[in-house]
Amino acid sequence: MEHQQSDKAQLVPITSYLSKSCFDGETVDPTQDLIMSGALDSLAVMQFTAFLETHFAIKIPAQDITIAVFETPLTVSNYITQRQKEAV
Amino acid sequence: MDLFAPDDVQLALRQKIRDFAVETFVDDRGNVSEQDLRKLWKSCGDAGLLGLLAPKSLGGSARTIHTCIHALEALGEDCPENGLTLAVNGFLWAVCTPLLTFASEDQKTRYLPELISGEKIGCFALSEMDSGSDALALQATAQTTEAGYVLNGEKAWVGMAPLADMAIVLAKTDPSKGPWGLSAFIVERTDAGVTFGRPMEKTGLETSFFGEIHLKDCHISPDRRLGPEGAGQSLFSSTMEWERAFIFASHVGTMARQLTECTNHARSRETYGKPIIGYQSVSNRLADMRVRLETSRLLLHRAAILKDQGQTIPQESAMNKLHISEAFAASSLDALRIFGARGYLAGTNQDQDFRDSAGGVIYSGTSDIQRQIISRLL
Repeated sequence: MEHQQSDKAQLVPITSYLSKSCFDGETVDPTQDLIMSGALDSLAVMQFTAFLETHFAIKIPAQDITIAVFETPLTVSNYITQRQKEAV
Repeated sequence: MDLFAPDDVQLALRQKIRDFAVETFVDDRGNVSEQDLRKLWKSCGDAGLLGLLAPKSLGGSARTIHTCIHALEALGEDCPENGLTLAVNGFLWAVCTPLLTFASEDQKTRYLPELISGEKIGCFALSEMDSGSDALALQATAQTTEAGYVLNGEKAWVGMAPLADMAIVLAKTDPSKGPWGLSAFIVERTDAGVTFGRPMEKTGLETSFFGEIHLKDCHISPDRRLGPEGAGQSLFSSTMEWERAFIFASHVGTMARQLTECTNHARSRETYGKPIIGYQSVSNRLADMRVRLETSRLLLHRAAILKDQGQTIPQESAMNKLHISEAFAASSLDALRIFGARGYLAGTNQDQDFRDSAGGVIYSGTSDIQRQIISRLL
């Protein structure tokens, strides 16, 4: 339960960033498809990655910037959780 | 005060590279055969230029980015072959860095030592005839098979492709996913179904051969994929950041050489009884060249230090590409004007630099594209 709450708290800054930077202020759902929408082009994904690294104090290797990680805000959040666990 | 002055190690390396350049590069413009270029390439490997970035375990010297930039800048000061210095920079930033970042340990061990020594040549095959500026709109495909992948497509404008033994090739593995469906592969010259084209004739940069790569039912094993499937866009972004930030490192050295040549000429050449440096129209050009050199160096060295700090620098990278390429083109035209008819003669440094610098505002993303990137990242 604590884990779920932590993920939910983690999702807020992710969806907020995406709403502001990639979706013109529209609400972004945790399961919203980020790829097919075309919102994350090569420059946007670089900016998004830089935001995630700064906000969550993690390093995202270039090899990890794939559709499996960036498909939805939820997959991004799960990835961050995994990276944070690996860092402990 | 020079904020980016070399330390003792960097100074010694700069001198070593300058000595190498003076000894190695003779004035043989327009007559460089494939055999000659391969020989020059090997000499660059022997001098350690191709291994500046790679770890010592793979035959490199594991220099910092800033030290690497000092070495490349020094190369440009004394190597008049801008095509070759471009090729060396292209290898370091667009072949070596993606291999160091995305390759498996087995791939690194298999390819990097021979590339670093100069025994073999690598190239980065991204562009196609109809996808230059819109690079990720490429059409080459890599379909999954039971035994790996089968590649089809036509790559164009690939630096050093005519001599290359291997190429990093970007292709679509999932066309339905757009840029997220791109992957990178290593293709070897000896693979069935791949043809490396002949050198394309171009305006300048004769010592960097450009060419096409034709892929027709080229079957490769899964261990030739570079990075995860779908990581092609990331490899593109990462590689372009390195390339655009630093591919002009040697051309900044060339701009320093240009300024020295032009200043000396303007002091010794007399018209109407006095040296032409005494005319404001000439001295203004020299002043502009000095400012362009200084601003280019500042951007270049600052970016190197930021990369040594582990920072991501997409905007700085685009600013470097835009500013230094335009500065080199403008200063090359000024050098031509200062030398007058003498500089317009084929085979002079001024003629060569003028023709070579024109390409700089196009390759690695045009100046227009760099402006788009910079403004997007504001």
